[in-house]
Amino acid sequence: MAPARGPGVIIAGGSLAGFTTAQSLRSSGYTGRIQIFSGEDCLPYNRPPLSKQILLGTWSSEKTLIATQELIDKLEVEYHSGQNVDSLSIETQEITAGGNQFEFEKLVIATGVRARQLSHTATSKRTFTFRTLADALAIKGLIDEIKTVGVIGSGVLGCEIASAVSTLGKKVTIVDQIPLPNLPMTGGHVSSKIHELFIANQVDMRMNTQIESISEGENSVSIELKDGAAFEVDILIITIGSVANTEWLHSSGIDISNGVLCDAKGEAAENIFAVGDVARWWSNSAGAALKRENQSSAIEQGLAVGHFIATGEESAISLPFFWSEIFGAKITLTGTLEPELPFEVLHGSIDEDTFVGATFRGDQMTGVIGWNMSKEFRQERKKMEERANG
Amino acid sequence: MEKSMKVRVDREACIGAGQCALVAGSIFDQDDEGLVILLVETPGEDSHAMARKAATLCPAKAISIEE
Repeated sequence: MAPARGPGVIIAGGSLAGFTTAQSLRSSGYTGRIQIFSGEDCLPYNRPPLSKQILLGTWSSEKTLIATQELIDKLEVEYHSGQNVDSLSIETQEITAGGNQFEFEKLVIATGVRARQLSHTATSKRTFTFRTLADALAIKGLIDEIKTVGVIGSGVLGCEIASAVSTLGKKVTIVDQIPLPNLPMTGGHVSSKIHELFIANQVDMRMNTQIESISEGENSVSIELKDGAAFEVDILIITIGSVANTEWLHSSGIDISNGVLCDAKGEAAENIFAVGDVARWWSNSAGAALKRENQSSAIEQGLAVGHFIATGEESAISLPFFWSEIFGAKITLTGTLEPELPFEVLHGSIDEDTFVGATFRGDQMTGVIGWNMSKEFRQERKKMEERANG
Repeated sequence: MEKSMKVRVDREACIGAGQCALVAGSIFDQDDEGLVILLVETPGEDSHAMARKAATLCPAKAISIEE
């Protein structure tokens, strides 16, 4: 079937959410033109392995790719790599990229987020942020010549990086202003467990403190903390959250106060949608617009928007799923553990490193977490999802 | 002529999210650890759409499809 002519769909951003949207458009029968503009100079790849298998060196970077050029050609997608979208005009239904204007019938915003920088220092030879394959490979390239690593931030990325480099035999120091590490959607209920895991693996935990100064030398970085302590590391990795890539939308009139605000089907304005980490979708069940920066949401939003553009049908979005592996502990989570609700252990025991736990509002489970306990986790998750859908 | 499809799973990449078994239970199952088990390597044409959906939904990108 020859694609119909006309401007078709433009997808700004060629990572997981953007590429999934293109796949979904085609599998839902869309035959028009699809163009993807990706700021990165490579094929679409998968981010979760970057802080796990790529740092550990167990996977080649090719294994992170989610599409080959062959697949892109087969889907009849025009993939412009290394080309950021610079601006949007709603009035003329055009974007600009590389100084040229491109008209669209539908626009999908999938520009993602970038790593937040510390105000103290820009990233340089010994100081890194962590978001892209290039970031991971740059650190991996230094790994044999370093002995000590500092990690600022103890969210999921900081925890996974610290676990990986520590597993490789590096002496790791984590710094954060919060009292305990925290994984997304866990409501803090497993934070002390993760903290213990780091302590047991000889990671130096400098929690409840802030950075006073960072000074980078030729072969090391010196960090001074507000509590007066100071230490030196061979490299420093900064994982203090993200910033939405929405600057190009500033004069468009779209609400970008915390990512791109969308309704429950991902529409931000007429003919304009947003998916993935950059998007903040309205959630009917939460009664609020939520910015969910996770893999399963990026995929589901891409699928839903592609299907909606192609067919006009809306899709149900399932509860978010999240996973991590820290020092061999396999952690899986569906839904959200609420910080204000009591944490109930349903199977196993926290002390024995094998458990499934949940929080309940009334008799409704809000979220369930498994810690080295796959089968029981799936049983509980199934119950929760059946209730949520029924 | 019926179109052919070959499904491959990478159990080393699999993280046991179970999306595949949820949307295409006739093609994928999970073992006790939650890791993917491929039940049908070459599904019939009426199952192609759900196999593709399972591959797309997999958060670990552990399913690949050759058509």
